[in-house]
Amino acid sequence: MTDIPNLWPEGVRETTPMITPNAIFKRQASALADRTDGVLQGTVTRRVHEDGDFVYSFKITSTTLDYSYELFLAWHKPILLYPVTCSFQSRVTRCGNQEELLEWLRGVFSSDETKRVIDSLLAQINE
Amino acid sequence: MPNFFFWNTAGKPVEKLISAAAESHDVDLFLLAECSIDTRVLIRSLNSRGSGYRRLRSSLCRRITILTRYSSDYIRPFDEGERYSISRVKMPAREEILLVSAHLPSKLEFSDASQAQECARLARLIIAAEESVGHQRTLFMGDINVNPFEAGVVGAGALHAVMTKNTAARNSRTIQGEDYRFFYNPMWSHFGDGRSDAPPGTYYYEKAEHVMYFWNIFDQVLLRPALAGSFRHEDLAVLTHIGSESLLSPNGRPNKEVSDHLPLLLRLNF
Repeated sequence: MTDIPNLWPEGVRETTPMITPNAIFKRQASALADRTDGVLQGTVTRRVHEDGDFVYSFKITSTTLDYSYELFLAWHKPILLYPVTCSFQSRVTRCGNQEELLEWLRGVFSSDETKRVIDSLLAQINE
Repeated sequence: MPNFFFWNTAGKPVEKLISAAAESHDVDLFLLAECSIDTRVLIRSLNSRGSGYRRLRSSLCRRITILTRYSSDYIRPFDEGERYSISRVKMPAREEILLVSAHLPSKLEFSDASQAQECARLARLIIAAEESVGHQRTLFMGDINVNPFEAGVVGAGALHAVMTKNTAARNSRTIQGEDYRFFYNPMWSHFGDGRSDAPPGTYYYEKAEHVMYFWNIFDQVLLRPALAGSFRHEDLAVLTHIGSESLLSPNGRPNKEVSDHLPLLLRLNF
């Protein structure tokens, strides 16, 4: 019987390192606690949409105030991690890769809207 | 009994009408969508007769403005986002309720299917809040930009709001092994011209296409069964006048110079 060759390339396991949107969001969620000495936390929830997409909700949370504010939403296809579509203040942005997602997040976190939310929460906590 | 007032003010300078509503309807809590009136102007107008209204400063939702003459200790925002606000309302000698308001995307912004998804998302947020606080005494008052008969409102996976108290009193129903809790939607009784003292809806829209409802009810009150029992139809009104001022044009439609939406007034014992 003729040998059937293995058609898979030798380097099939050598993939380009890629960080998932979920990992990026979770890292930024815990980074908020680091920046605010744990006074504010980020929380990320993920659910599967009816059409199969993974949908993320990123909230700024204060356990002291028992309060959460949903800052942005993001979603992507279940297998393809990128592009990830992000929605902040009703503006929808498509991030084609992790660099674009990181840049978009940098803009969100330094926006006037995010500053408004954080300033207000910190003021209430410090009352 | 507390009086709740919801109005999409369409960005119009209607502070005098809001002030008049406070006086003529003894409003305890205002929920305003698309309110672009400067807070100081609004509060000054509301308190010109010494009523003691204040903006709920702890609410960060940009699209819903909450004003009340209750102590801010009684109303604590719990979960909010750009388009929704969920607060815990606990007043002396009354059980806590969840007060939800929202202003969801319009039919100009979103397709019917996308609007239904937004309603389903709001429903999930409400359920998550109910699970967190441990009760389902939930009142919704807001502009969801879909009619009571559309999938976003009646769909089990969406708001699941039905037209009779009796149906809602079942609390939930099971579909494919999964439970879906009901809302009661009293707005069904506010369609059409069957009552001479009430408008046919809350919002009028007309376009030369084949399917057209003309009058819509995008502004709605929804009650979980735990609150629906104490609801009385005579305690919910779609207002066409505030004081002596009509909110309608001579053709009987909402006067767009005032707002293209009519306000809701609810008196609820809980």
